Amino acid sequence: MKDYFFRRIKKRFFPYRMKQVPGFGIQAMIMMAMTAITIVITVTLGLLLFNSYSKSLMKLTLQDTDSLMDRTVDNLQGELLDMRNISNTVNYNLIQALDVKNPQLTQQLGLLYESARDSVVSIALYSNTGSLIMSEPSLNQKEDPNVTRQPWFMDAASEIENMHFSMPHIQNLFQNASDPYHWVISLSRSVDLTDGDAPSTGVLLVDMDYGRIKEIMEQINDNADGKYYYLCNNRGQLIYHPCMDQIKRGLLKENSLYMSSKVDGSYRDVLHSMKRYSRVKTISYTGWKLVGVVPDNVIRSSMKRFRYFILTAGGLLIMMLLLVNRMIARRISLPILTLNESIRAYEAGETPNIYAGGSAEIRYLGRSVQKSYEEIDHLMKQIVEEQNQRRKSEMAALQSQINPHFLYNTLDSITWMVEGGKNDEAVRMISQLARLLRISLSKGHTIISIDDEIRHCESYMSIQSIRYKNRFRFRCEIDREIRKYSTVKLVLQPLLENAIYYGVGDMDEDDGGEIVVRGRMQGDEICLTVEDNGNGMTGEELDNLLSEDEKVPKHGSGVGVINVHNRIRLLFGQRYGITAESEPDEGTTITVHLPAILYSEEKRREMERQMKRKGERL
Amino acid sequence: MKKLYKRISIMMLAVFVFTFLAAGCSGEEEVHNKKTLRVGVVKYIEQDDYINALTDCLRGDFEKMEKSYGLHIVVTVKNGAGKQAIQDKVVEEMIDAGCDILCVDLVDRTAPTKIINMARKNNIPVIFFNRELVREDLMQWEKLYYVGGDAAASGIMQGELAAGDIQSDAKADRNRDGRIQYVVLEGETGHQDAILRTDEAVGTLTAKGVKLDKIRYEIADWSKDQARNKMSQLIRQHHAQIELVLANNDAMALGAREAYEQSGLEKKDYPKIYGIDGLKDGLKAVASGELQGTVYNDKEGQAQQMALLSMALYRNETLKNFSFHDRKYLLLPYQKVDGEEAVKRVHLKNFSK
Amino acid sequence: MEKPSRAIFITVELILAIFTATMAVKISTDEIPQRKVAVIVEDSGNSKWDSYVKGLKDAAKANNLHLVICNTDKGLNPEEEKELMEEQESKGVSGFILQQAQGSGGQVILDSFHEPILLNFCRLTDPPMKKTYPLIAPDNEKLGEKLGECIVEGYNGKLEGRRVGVVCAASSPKVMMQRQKGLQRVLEKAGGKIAWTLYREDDTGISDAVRSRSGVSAIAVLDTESLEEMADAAAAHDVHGAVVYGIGASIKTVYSLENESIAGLVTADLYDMGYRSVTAMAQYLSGSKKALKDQSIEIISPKKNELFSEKYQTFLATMER
Repeated sequence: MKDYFFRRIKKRFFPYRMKQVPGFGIQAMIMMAMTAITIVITVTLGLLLFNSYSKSLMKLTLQDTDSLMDRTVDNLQGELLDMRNISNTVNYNLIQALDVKNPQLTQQLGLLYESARDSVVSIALYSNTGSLIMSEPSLNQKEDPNVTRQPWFMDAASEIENMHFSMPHIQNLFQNASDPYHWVISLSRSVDLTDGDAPSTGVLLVDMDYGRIKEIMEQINDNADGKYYYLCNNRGQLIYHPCMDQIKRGLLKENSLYMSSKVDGSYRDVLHSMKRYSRVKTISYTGWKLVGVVPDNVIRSSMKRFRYFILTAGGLLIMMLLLVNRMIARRISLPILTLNESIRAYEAGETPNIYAGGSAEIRYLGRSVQKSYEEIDHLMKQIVEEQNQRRKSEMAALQSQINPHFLYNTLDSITWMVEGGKNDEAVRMISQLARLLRISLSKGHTIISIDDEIRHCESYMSIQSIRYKNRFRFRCEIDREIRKYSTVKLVLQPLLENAIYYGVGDMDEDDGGEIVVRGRMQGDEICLTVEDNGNGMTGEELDNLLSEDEKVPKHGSGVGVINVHNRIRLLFGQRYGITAESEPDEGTTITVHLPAILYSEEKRREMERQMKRKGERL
Repeated sequence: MKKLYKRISIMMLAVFVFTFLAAGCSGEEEVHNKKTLRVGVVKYIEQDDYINALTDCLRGDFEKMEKSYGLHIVVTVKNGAGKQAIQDKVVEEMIDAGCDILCVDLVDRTAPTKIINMARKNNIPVIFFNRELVREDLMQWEKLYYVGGDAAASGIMQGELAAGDIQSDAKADRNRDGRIQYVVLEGETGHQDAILRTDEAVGTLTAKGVKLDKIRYEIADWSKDQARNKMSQLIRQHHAQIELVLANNDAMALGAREAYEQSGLEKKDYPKIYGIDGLKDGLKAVASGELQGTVYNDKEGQAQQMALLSMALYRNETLKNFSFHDRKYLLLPYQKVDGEEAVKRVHLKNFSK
Repeated sequence: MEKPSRAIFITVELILAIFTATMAVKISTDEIPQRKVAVIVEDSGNSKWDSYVKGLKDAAKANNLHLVICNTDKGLNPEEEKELMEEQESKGVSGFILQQAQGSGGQVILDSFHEPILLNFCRLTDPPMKKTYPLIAPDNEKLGEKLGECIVEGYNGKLEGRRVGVVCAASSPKVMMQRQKGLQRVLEKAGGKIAWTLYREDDTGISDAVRSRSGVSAIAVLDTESLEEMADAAAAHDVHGAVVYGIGASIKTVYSLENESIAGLVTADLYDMGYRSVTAMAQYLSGSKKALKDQSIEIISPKKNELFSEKYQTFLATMER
């Protein structure tokens, strides 16, 4: 029964409990926000890092290339300088100084050759007609090398003041079965020689081992990671290129002609649809160019690695941050969620044990909710009590309206009168009873005029006096004007009933028992008194009269007085009701306090409506 | 909740560990083919008569072993074109293509490290031959060996031959000045064998009491042509004065002989000419008297030792039966060859196998 | 909402973990593992292959291929070739470039491999083929023809009554046969005829056998080693006055042309053969399935005075190391 009420109340007050809350919970919202921030930051950082790294890497690569090329240029220049020095030494210290037939010449030449064997293939002196005068190492000449038509000879002969470096070519001078086709770069110059008495000119040829240049270039090309370096002369002809064979056969191309015309610096060009940087450095004296090519995609592999590294780091970072986010979100939202849970639990019917933890705000909320729920609980209990009370009152009211005993007795009396032939008295009694009943019901109204109430009392007392055979006297002293005022119905009759039963009922005729009903206006209050001079009550009984405690001993059913008291208070408020005075063996006076409200139909309706509403509100 | 988190972190850790391990263990296992022995021979240069002769012997020896060991043997011969960098690359390629034993004649005897490292990484034993390594390098790994001749010994023998002939022939000192005017034809500057041969030969002569008068030392690159040219020059300068020519190898000795034949001098004015190696041409010349002597470099013996050692290493057999010096060196003795009889002996011993 | 959110979280974390691990692995591994191509020719260390190998290597570098040149001995037979192919297959090779080994059972062996195979030098047609393998090589018959033309030119177009001896290698009979065929055609058209054919075994040499023959005006040599030997013999005047012409691909043969030990030389651009072979294989492996097809290699017959021309110097450049 109690639970049923509880549920009904809850349903009235929490109508949304059954529906699920749509949308995201707090934890999800925090997580989403934090995750979004994390991702945005990580991605932005990653991109920035990647970008700046790729720029730095390119810059570094170019710098690297630059320093490597500087070293290589020094190296190459050194080699070429060595050749020139040898040529100079032979020319100035040997050829110009000594006669060609001087054996010392051959000796010294041999010495010089020995010391330079690593880079020099041969040193040879030719007359201006192309005949071989001497050579180191001493090998037999080929049958018809056609020396004068060879480019190095023609260059030297045409420009006698300079030394000439040739393009790499196969040496075509000596018989050498073990190495017949050796690649050399020829350094040739015109020289003045002394042959006997006649001075003449000739050409000094120092053939440099192309392998040296090749070795130097191969070394820097070896682990170049997509970069490559090549050497060309100032007309764009290739001296060395890692893909020399392919270019010579037309399988690949190179931009050497363009680069050979450029001064030292960095240039952008495109070849085989690949963009690259070409750095040009000039080698002195020869006008050769060392070109280092850095294709744009050379940093691709390191960038790829770096990209994967960044992705890994980013992935790890996001993973960790997600974890941390989740932990934080949980930390924050857990108290809220627990609070939520306990509220749900409560709504589901469990006892309120609201979670009170987490941050101060949550705790406050928790406590507040707990208090509210406790308050609600208390109020609900109050309501239930008042409902019970009302029901009881209603029941009592109902009960009191018609005291069955009174009815039986009256009907008995009537029966006795009829049987005794006292028809007139019977008729009188029946009509009084009827009037009594009529007023009792009063068309269901709760509020009647005092006038009606008095008539009811008179009818009642008239019946009672017949029954009680005039053992007591009854009279009314009501001020005329108050008859127009309102009262709750049936307030006096229970009092009269009490007065009869407990007051004067068992008094003798001679004792002069008397019940007086008075009524008058006192200020804005109307006082109706029922006074009897009967048994009276003890102080204790007086106190307990208005007590609702069922355990307390009272007169009879005892509902009457309390009932009246409550009904009056229910309708008119706590100010009004019943007061009682009594002296044992002297008598009892019960006073009914009512507010002075004129009776009218509208007034009655208004008051009855109010009463209904009051009840509902409670 | 805590338990679940723990499980997750263990799982993630496991995933990480596995992937890293997998990435790391990408090395390939060398497939040891038990049916075929692959021998990689790397010469220092393409054209060296001595080395080519040795390689041919080696090939022949392996062929014979195919039958006796019931194994298929593949011999691949490459060369380093005179550059150590190229030789290193060649070795790398051979290892990449699959090789069980390497036989290497280093271009630069002081720079074997790259080759040793590559071989070691792939667990391939290396038999160095002809050019001797520095001892420390040979000791770097247990599976490195050297097969060759004792260069110093060959020089000593040449000196002994020359000393013997000179002291027994009164006409050796043509100008009767009590000294022997001599010329040395050297292989290369700074070449260990050349230095040793020269030093020991000359030293032995002196030790034996022959008084020497140095005319010239000439570098002729181990080559007949160059030796001939150099000799011709010297002949032009010194005519018949030269009484002794010591050449570091047969080719140069033959070149010197050719120079004299072309010079127009009479045979009686020819010097005594000695070479080292004992190649076919050289032996022929000694037999015919064109050369007074040579020192036979036992290339057949060396090749045989290399083949036997290769097989033993491949089959993981004991190496007790090999007579190692210092655990690593297999040195085969030289043989003096001073005339027709000696040549015949050499032929009998070695060429009739 | 508790349970599903945890499940989502764990799923997301797992996906991220897998992603991160994959990226981590990719850091240390090569993005594009180089594809491997194995090359099998007999006597892989012989210097006559220098320009061929250079062509192979240059193309491999240009196409980012890992080249493996298998270690071989003189005289390659089908069993050995099969063994080598199997070994390379187990090492993850993607394609083969082969000199087909002479001997029975050759074709069947090739059929048993599913990697693409490209042939160099010659294509053997027996036993009857299931599959035709693409061939990039100089046309052997044309080589023979060109040699014939050299000889005819040497006699000013008139070969009436002249007899020519043929020397060739016993180790590759098919190739020799094709060359001889072309040679014969040209010679007979000009009125000459082939008197005898000698086969050189790897270990015995041929000059003794030639010495015992006589009566030919010219000797046509069909392979490099034989030509080198005959050039030496000619230089030593050991050929009874016959003039030597030949097909050869080594520096020594070129030099013997220069020093007139031989009167005519026919060669093919082996660098080109190597380069085209690897390029075709690379294209095939990159997806263009039509790349592996027959290609013919240029045949060159230099004259002595052309040897130092630009063109020929380029050619010679590939022969040195």
